[in-house]
Amino acid sequence: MTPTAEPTLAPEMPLQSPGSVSSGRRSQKSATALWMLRRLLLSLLVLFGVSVLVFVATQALPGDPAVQILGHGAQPEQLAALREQLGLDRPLLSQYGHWLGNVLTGSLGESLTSPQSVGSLLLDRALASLALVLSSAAIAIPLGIVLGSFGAIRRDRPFDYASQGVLLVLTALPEFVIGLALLILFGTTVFQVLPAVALIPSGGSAFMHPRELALPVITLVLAVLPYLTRLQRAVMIDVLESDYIQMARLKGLPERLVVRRHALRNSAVPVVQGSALTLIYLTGGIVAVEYLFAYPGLGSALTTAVAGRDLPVVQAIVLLLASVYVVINLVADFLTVLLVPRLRTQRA
Amino acid sequence: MALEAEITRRDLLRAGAVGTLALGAGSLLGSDAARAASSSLLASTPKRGGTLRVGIAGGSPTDDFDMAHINGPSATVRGQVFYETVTYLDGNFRLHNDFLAQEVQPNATGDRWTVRLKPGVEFHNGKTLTADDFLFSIRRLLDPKSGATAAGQLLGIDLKRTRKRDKRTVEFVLKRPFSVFDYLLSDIVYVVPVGYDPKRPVSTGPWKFKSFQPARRTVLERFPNYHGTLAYADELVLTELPDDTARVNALVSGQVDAINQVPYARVAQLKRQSGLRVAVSPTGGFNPITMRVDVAPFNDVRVRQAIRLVMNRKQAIATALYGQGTPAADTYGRFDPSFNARLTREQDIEQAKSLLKRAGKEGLKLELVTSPIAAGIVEASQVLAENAKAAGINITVRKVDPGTYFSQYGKWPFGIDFWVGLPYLVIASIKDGPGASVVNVTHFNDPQFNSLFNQASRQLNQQERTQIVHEMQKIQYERGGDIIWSFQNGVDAYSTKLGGIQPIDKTAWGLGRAQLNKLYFR
Repeated sequence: MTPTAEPTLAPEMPLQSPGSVSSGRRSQKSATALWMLRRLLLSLLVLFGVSVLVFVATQALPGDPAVQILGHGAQPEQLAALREQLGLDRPLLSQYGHWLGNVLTGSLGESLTSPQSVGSLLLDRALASLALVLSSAAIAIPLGIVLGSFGAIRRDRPFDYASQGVLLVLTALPEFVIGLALLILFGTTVFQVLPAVALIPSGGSAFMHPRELALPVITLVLAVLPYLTRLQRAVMIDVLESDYIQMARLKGLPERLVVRRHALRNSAVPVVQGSALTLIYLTGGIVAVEYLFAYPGLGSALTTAVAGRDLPVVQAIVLLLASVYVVINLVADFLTVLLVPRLRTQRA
Repeated sequence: MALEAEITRRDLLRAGAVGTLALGAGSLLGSDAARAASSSLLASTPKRGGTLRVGIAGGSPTDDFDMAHINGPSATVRGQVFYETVTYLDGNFRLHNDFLAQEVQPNATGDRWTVRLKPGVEFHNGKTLTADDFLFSIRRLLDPKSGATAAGQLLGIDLKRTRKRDKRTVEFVLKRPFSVFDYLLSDIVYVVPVGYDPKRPVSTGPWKFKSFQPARRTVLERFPNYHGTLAYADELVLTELPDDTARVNALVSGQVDAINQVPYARVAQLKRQSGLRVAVSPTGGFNPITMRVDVAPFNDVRVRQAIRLVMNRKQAIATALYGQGTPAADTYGRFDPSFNARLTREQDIEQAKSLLKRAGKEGLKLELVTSPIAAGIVEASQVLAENAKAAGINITVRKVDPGTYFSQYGKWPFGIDFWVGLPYLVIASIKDGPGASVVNVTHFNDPQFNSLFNQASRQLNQQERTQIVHEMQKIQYERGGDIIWSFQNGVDAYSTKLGGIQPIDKTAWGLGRAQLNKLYFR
């Protein structure tokens, strides 16, 4: 699967106040700062909304955490004792208030029965997932830019056709299928060269286990590469056909310089947005891939926590993933504003 | 193969009873066992050393290492590997009254049981096992605050009148007689020392605790002062792999040395794979489809019998279990010495139709709620629905996730359940006997059955008891609420690098009753 939403090529424009028409550089700067602040506050509002949604959604899940913890043979008095201990017998609003209070003070609460707190339970897994996302992004984004640019420059030539064909096929395949195919090819049946299951002990960094990382990372790279490459190719083709490139060529600049100095730089903005979307997609995409390779990250913790109705863990992971979304979006928008001179100075 | 495994087990256990503790004696024993057995798999001399890596099913981030919390498949394996019980039911369904106990004796009426513990059994913290520890463990299991899984089965103990008689002897007083109390003690009634801290667990078992990460892995190391067979491997790593595919892949790619709960669909293929040994064992475990006998239309025994008769059990075993099962006849307790194996039930559509006609329930419409809580149960539900059409019964199969299923457990009129192969009266005492409550999902409450149960509970003579149990099984066969269509096989898989494998485990707990201390690298 690839992200379905098209990247927003232009970020939300900084608002112009009528009085700022004749203002100078300083007020432009402060307007940008104001816009950033507004975006920041809006993001916090979004997160608050998410927290309510997550809480309500977890409460709506059919199933009883106490039964999940004690087992289906639990005696009624055992269940009552546990519900009281966990505060599951209190009104919903009070449970939400308690949870939000915890979150705001930086504590994600206590897991339902695990002796560890949710925070310590998740830190290790969050770092493992981060390693997975960052490695995949670090490979996929540059590769996508290179392949896409190359495809644009060699447009309608054999390389372009071949890469477009392969990428189209990949686009059509869900990452679960890609992962399974890689697993059969390199892990179990055809060649047994890479570990089929990512048995990474906790404590150390996942980067210390490159062999275990290999298959999940390749799967994720193949899942996002088509989108990135096709985006970069489309943007590059647009740029290469624009007037200023024509002008640069007419000036007699060598093609290499035209591409490097003019085309690539001008294609940066959509790529920043595209990369942000890719990161966001990867953050969500880990759930399936982690499950497939039994990778000990947030995704697999989420699937087991949902199955086990460990609501504090579910709430913490979803809120964490939502925060990642919001932060990446925010950073991408800020970067875009900084990259595009027009967006910084347009007010004049 | 069954015989060979038996010889090994008996030898090792006999030696354990004699109290051979020395390290050398352990390996000597192993070679004795090897001489006794002709199988090439057992013919190698056990060696010490190495890290044994086992992939196990299940696992949740909320798991802990508490001896009281044996909820779910991974906790079950961890519990069996790490903790010990006073009596021990082996993979061949023989009870050993001399495991942590020296002897277990009932009084003439079966309502007082004296458990005398072995001398000199050491906990990992250096403490010697005493009556106080055993009583502490029982009290802990019965404390509602500890949320113990075993609480339900121990409710018959009169805790106030149960006391220690001397340093190593506990006298249990039961609220009512229970002739198989010794069997009951072998099932997840784990013994820990006074002052037990679940965050730093200790036991009398062959493995000492090193570390535990919920839903990831458990690391244990050999306990050198173990009272039985010293572990051959230096270290044991249990990795939790809830996904069937990942678990099999981990074994195939050599990342673990053994796995439990091999998915039935993969058995045939794995058997052909070199370097692997698939251990298939018949078990007394069963996954019934359940009907509540107290609600319409199942309160009419003719309806229950009709639905039991429409199911093609052989087809269900072939489709849902890929052939890994044996047809059953709506009663349980296979391998229990008192099991009546002569009861059988074949599909009989005509009789089912006539029963429904007499009950005035032709064209019955039902909803069967099912959930993937055990291998093949969803598929078996679908087979039943398909079979039922022939008798004009319209069964809609509704599949829900396990969390949803268990939240209404015991309430669904037409649902499912899962059981390991415990002794007959132990199951009956929790499932459908007079004291059963929470897990009595069929709400079976039959005066004649209850009276027979009480008789059997008083009867200490095995042969006399068998007569009574046969009558109980006949009642279940004639009017029970369970469709017990199969006893499923237990399937584990091992790397051929391992020796000491005990392939037979009739209890359905798996991994040769989790006797991982007896596995060694060739």
